[in-house]
Amino acid sequence: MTDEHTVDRAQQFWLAQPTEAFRLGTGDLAKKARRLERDARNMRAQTYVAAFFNVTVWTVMFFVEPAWGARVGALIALLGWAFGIQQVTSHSRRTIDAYLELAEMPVASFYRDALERERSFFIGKRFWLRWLSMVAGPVVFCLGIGIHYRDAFVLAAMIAVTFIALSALAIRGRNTKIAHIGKQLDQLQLYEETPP
Amino acid sequence: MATGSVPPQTRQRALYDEAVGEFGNALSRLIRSYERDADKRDDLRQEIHFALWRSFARFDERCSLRTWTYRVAHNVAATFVQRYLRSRAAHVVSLDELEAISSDAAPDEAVDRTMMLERLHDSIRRLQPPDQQLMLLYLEGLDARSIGEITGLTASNVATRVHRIKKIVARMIHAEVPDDR
Repeated sequence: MTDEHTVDRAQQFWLAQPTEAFRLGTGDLAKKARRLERDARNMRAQTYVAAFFNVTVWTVMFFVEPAWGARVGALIALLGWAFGIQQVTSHSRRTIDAYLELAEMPVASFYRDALERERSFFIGKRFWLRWLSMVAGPVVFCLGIGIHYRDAFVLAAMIAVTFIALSALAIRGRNTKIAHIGKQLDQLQLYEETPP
Repeated sequence: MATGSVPPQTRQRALYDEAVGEFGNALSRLIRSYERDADKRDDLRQEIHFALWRSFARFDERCSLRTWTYRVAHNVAATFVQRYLRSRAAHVVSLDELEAISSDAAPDEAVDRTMMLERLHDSIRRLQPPDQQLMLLYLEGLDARSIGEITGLTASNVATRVHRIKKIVARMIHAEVPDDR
């Protein structure tokens, strides 16, 4: 039996395999649409709660805390976290917008766009600015507290160091992620340009 | 389908019904190939059907219903699988690696139809997205031009890859399936 014949038979088996009939009814579609809207609403609510929490905490710290270093830290944190939340929200919006063009884009382009969008979130000036603005505020705040209240210096320094260490770990995770995405993009590039 | 005075929602529903009627079985095979876990498979099925229905609000007939349906299904499935990529990443292989694996797969061993199908589904799940889609579309019986239209790859690139996929499939089952099955 030739390879060609074998492959033809495999294809026949493939097409003849049992399948499950499925169709979304009008009620299911309406339910799913409602669920999607509810999820989007919940996600927006979570973002607002996170934003409100951060704005409230750092604003209170800015006005209440007598240590000037801590007040500077609170101000940086306030601006930094607002910037971070805005970046995450706009990234999610771009992802949702792309999802609406599912059928207009060939599979390889859709896949490449998704990878590039993901990578762009983790590289470049905007990433480092986001990272710095989110880390710098709390660290400066802790140091400000430590300098002002001598007794609390060790504890404040420890919190700041822990925060920096956790941020460094996040950078490591981010490096792994962009390396993985880069590899996939390189393979896709080869795939699209030259026959193997 | 005539678009004249038909209300948009009726047209959207009619297109969805037509697509499911024509390609429902192909979608079912695609879903099984992308996702092994039964619960996640149900989620993926719902997501694909919902995305398909929603997409028909924008269907402008610039491509065929088949191309449209396959693009939506593959794009949703690939996105769905990407969510679990972190845990899957270590097991994803290229076509080259799969070729090597399939040659190691005891070609003399008799393989029955169910096992062969399971092996095919497993192999597809292990491939990286572009190869995964190509292999599925090839098994669905689409020609290189149609596959190119869906994936966005050149016909020559598709033809070369399909040639290799055929070799992999042949090695995988190696003519050991009895004729009377």
